[in-house]
Amino acid sequence: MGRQDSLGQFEQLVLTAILTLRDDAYGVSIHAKVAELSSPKPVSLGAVYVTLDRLEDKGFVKSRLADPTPERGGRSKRYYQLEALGETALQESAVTAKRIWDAFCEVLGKDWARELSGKRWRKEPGR
Amino acid sequence: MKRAKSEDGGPPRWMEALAAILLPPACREHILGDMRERYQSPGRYFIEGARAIPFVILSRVRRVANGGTLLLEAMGMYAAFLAAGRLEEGNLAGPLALWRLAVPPAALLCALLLGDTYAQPEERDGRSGLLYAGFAALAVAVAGDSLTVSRWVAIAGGGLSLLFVAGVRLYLPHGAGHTPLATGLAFARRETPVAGRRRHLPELSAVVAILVLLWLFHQTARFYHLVK
Repeated sequence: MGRQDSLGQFEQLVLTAILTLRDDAYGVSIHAKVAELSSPKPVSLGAVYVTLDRLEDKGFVKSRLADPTPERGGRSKRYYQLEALGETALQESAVTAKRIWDAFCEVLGKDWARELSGKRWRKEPGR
Repeated sequence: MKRAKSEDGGPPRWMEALAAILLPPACREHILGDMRERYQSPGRYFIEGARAIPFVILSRVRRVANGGTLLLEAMGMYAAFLAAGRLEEGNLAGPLALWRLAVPPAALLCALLLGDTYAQPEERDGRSGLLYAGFAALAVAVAGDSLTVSRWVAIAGGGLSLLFVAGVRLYLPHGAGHTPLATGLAFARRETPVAGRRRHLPELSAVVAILVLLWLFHQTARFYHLVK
């Protein structure tokens, strides 16, 4: 893959959110998932829309407008779906992240990694 | 705490109407729906809108702006005003005359971009951009002498510019689905052949732009007797 195919960190978060949400990936749910993944960093709704547009332009995701719903004042939802290209790019990013993690573990030791994971997990219930 | 909502439990109607006006039609429907779904209070709705809408507009501008075509249109409009400037004596005289003539085409270009951004998503002929540019040309003509060029130059230049842009848009497909800046990458990956006449447009436009800029600098330098 070329250099243009590499994903930014925020793009990785948005693609991961779409991947995990499957058929329920639309603006609000994607924003909620990205906010959860990037916690405690706040995420703006505008940043999510801009990234979704960019990912669509790159051919990583595709979107469709659903039927209007009354709880949204008769407005439609725009659902996003991961394309094969997006899935490949996300997989490559995950592999790279794994390599970085392994390198960290190798240098700083397994205890450090376990401690870091523990910190992360301990934070979850209190959020 | 009591929430200030409209009758149907959503945000106040005027706020939603304001957001609907500001949002480009292509993303109006789903973003308004999302904002309504997240609605808690008028204050939060306002803050959320103020934080999201400018980015959405900029993203739309990026999606509709075709660098090559835009450059071609800018050069064509400048050439039109340059030609119109020859109608009256004195328009091309003076140290900054050539730069002064660039102000009306710049205004028209901004209007063109604004029109493209707020065009309906299914529109492919770029007529909204042309309409906005038409209004801008009219405004430039009305402003007349108080702006940088005389009224007749503004009318002739504006008319020629609109003709040129209409010609460009007739020849080249237009809209968010046809912007090489936005979709070039996706095209390349899917190995979809890009129409031959568009393939080298950005490079060609860049060369033309550089030549025009060089000529402009040469003319300015000649006026100051820096070169013969």
